[in-house]
Amino acid sequence: MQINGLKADNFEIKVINQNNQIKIQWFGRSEARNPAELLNPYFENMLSKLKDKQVAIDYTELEFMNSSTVPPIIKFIKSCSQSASSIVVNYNMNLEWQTASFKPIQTVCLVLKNVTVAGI
Amino acid sequence: MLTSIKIEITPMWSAIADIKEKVKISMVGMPRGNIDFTVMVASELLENAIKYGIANNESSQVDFEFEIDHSKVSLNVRNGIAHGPNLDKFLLVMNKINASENKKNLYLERLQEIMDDPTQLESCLGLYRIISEVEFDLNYRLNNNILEMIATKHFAEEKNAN
Repeated sequence: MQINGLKADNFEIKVINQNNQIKIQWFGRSEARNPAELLNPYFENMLSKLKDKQVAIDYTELEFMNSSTVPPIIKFIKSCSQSASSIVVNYNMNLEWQTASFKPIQTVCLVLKNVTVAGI
Repeated sequence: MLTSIKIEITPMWSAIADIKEKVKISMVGMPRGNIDFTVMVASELLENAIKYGIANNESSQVDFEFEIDHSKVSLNVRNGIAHGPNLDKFLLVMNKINASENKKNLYLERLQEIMDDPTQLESCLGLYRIISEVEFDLNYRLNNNILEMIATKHFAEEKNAN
């Protein structure tokens, strides 16, 4: 099943769909005034295609995100956890900003079944 | 050596990227983490100023000031503000921040609220992010319909540069 990526000004999401695994990679800088406007409908459209899949969300190449990007991320991880068989969220632990930003997300995601948030 | 930037900008979203780039350039040679954290703080303060600030008799622009030496960074963002729900919400958040002994928890609490109710339209995370994620000190002055935000941090002395 084809899942399209997403491209905006300085920011891109690429999706690799292989067998039962779907890798969602973030690139660039998410710095729009209202990222939810773009991200929420995109992810809502994607959700039905993630049912029973192993989902990997890769932020390691993301260069920057503003605080308005965080709610769509949390919303997607939560929705995904109710649909996918497993979700692994990876951030780049060599980048201090990513560790600082994703550690709190890791903490609030602890209660979600099938979700692992880890620095690599 | 002290480096400083002082810019008056028209409150347009596109101006934020330019200022972030100027901050980055002025910090060349410092550890990457310090640069990324400072850029994040500049971005959050400017985003708030542009989203919630207004043009009034006292100010029609957003003033941005930045100072850095080898161990301390200071960012100052000034904009016009109107009395109303946005200002009330801001004062509530700042009161919570000032009263809290565990500022990291404030950010986690807000993330949990978003997790519990993902339909919330506003993130309201920027100020918590500044004091929690990147651990800057955050203060404000409110005078004659001008809001001034002041974020400061003392960096640990490090030898490695990016």
